[in-house]
Amino acid sequence: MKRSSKTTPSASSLPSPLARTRVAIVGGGCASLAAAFELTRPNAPEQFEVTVYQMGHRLGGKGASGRGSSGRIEEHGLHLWLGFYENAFRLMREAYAEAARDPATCPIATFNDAFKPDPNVAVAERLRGGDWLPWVATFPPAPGLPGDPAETVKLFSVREYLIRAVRLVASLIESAGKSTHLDREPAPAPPEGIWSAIDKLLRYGALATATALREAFDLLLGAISTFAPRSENVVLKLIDAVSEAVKQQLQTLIEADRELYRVFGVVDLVLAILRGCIRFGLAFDPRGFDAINDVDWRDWLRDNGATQSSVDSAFVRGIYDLVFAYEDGDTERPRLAAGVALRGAMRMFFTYKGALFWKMQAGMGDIVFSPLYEVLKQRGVKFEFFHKLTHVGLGGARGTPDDRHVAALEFDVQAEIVGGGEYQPLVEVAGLPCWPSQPLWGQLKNGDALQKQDIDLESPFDPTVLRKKTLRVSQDFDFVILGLSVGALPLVCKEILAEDTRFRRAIHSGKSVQTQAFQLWLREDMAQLGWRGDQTNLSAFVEPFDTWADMTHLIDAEDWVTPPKAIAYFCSVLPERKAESAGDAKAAHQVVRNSAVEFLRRDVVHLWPRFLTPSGEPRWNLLAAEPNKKSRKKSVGEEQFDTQFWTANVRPSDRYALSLPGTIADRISPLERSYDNLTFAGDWTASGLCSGCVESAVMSGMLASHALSGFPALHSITGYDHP
Amino acid sequence: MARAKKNPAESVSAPPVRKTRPIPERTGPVRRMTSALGTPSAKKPSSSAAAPGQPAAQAPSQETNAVSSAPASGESNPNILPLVKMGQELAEQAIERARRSSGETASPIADSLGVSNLPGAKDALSLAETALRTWVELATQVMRVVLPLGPQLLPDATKIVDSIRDAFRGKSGGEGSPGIHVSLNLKGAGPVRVSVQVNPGISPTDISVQPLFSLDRSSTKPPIHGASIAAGRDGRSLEVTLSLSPTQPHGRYLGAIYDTASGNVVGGLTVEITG
Repeated sequence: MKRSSKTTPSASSLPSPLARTRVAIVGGGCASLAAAFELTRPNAPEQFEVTVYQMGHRLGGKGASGRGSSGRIEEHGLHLWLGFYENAFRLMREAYAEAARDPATCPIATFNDAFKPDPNVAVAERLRGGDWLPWVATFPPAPGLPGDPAETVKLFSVREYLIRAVRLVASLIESAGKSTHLDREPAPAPPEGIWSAIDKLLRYGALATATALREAFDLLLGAISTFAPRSENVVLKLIDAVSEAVKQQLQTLIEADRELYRVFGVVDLVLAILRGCIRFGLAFDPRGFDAINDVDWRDWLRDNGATQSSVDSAFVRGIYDLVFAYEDGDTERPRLAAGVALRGAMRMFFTYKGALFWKMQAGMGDIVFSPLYEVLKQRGVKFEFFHKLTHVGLGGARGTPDDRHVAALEFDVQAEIVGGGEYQPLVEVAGLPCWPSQPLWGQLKNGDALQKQDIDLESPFDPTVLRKKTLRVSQDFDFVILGLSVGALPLVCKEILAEDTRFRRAIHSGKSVQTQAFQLWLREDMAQLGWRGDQTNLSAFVEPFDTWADMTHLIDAEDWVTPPKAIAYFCSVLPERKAESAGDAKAAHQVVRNSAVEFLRRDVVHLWPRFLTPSGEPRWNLLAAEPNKKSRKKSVGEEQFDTQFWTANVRPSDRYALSLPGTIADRISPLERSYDNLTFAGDWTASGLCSGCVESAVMSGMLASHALSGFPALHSITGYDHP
Repeated sequence: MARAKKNPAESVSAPPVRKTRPIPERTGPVRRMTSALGTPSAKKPSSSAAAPGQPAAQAPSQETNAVSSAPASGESNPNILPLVKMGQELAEQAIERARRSSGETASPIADSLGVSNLPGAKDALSLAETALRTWVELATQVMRVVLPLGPQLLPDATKIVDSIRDAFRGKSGGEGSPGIHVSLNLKGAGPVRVSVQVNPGISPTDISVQPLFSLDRSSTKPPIHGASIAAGRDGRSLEVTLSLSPTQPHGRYLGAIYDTASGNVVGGLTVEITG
């Protein structure tokens, strides 16, 4: 690992036009950097002077990653990009284009190098007797590339989603029919109108054959295409009839056929979604899917006719796992706002481009935050690392909203640079500019001494402070974007919390959750470990680590002398625990370590049967690590796990933003103007998507930019006005 | 190097002017139109120059190799919103006309049946009005779909409304017919109120009734399956048999009476379980 040779021009070397509006962005996660990107577009109508203040040594927030020994990628957790992340992908495509990396010297020079499609997704089903069976699905490629120009993106109406849902059910039934004795005569088109045909069909109850069922689906498609308010009852009756017929035709078969059982589960869920969307009038509700955000998605599905086994299915658990939707990290308390879930599921399965998933070809820090850093530096954005915000001070008279503003930002300066220059945060690993897991101590004053203190400069509870620094409005900044995690805001916004009921409600409603993750580097490949299938991403697995992704494709992005054969990432929520000190963080770290070891002893065998010896002991020697220069002692047995990587994401800034029922309406929009020089950005805000993900964060950053500058135009934020 | 002389005007520092955020055009998403119509595509920038509030470099045009050559899925008519607005206004006018005419249309039915003052007559009127309004709103939806295709389709869309109304009036607003004798055979406990409405001129030997569904919009009450209708022994009167489960929830239920030969709905059976 060497210091990155990629040099970026210093902000001070660039011309600085007078009277530019100065924007202080606090926090360097996706939302903040998206806002900086928009505010500094070279052809924007107004130019802003942007400074990003970042605690510790690296950008990325919850998406930050680092490089450890052997150039290993060390993540906060598993990050997969979904094929509908239009805004986030567009940002990255533009960033790579503008960074203009040289393919001859940089292994990941373009967007196409950085992201690769991954069509495989799997969920794990628990069988009677305690075994787990993976269900792997491969989604066909879809036209386009995520992030295609905004003007080419057309999102669906609720009605169009419902039509697609009917088609999905019909095709699933059709495919089920191919493996059964259901007859497969083509459905005749109704000679009369759709509605009278429905009337006839319901009247005679003639849905006993697959042909009739197929005809019913055709009618359902027609009905959904044309139904109007107050004609829902007819459609609902047809759905009920179809649902009953599906049950009658498949119920006897699913006991003996696992594939049919899965099909039945999905069909049951989709019919419940159809029924619910129509019952709740979502196709005509001006709130769109938000109309059902006060209820939990599982409850909503159940209320609309889904069977309990479908609600408990791996498919639904997989969705909850994907967004860590467990209140207080308790996997017995799945909670996810129904509208957010439905919007996410519809977009995920019906509007993806290219592939359902896209995988980064290195760490998220390397793929996302390095090129963004390069581009923003080229544009003149300043980065102040080792700046920990401690207080947001308000000015203006109480009770006069138009005059309320941020008057001061108070920071602890955690470290200073040798010679007073700028901190150069990147290192080069296998030719790629990357973020190190630890600060580059050599650049810091008293770096050796700081390193020996075992400090954590990324923790708000770390006491390290060289000096205090206060920025004042009009002198040092004009506008502020607080791009902090919802978990971190109460620590620095005490004054706003005390005075602003709207903000207080948003913070109290905006619950977040701690997460945990571990990564393994293995000396045998997945086939040797007993995994039967392609490289995949699997969720709904046994707790405490319900999600696994095969990340073997990252081997070439690391810097091993003797490369491993496979890489595996695991993650899940972490049951809520106290985290108010460095000691708490260390205790949590130990808990995750013990859970991971237990998981490897007890559970991973369901995925990798040959990870255990015949006597049932983990083959710890499969865990790859290169010799530690500092320690000559060779690890044996379970100790070898300690050569791997794990993390307890318990710091306030690491917490994952939940979308709990009954809380979405409390979210603050970056567009709101409670303070005339402040806005917020982050996936916890009312971004339009309102889900904890990079797309939500980028949308929020774009909204924050719009709030300060009027651009980008709201209609160019793909999906903001989506139902 | 000689130090530059200070401009006297600079020696007195003016108080810094505090900048303020612009007033936002709105503070949240607008989903009213997208729920029904999907998200209109963003407008294409008219030129490479940036317009205020609309950065021209939004599209990643520089990285042409990365941009898919897939055709735009859903390129929409840029005039879609004004057209739909016009369509909605037209539809609202049509609904209002239908609302007025529904009374005129439904009242003669009730009068001709001699059921204006009978229990359930209001249901009949309500049913008629609902039917009309549903068709009109269906026409509204049709207009929403066809309007973006071009204003030349407007006349056809309005004709849909008129033709539906005319068809309804012509079919049910006829010359009237003598009343039909109805007898009721009730099985099951609890007080109920039953009303039967049928079109004039129907053949009692060729009719049947659907299961009766709750009229409570958000109800999950089970339908009543134990209703049947048949011709009396004289071939002219009707015999309604109603078998109610003791657990059937209270409330109003309605089932369509239809002609088994043509499949057309020719009336309705309303049951109110009052407990």
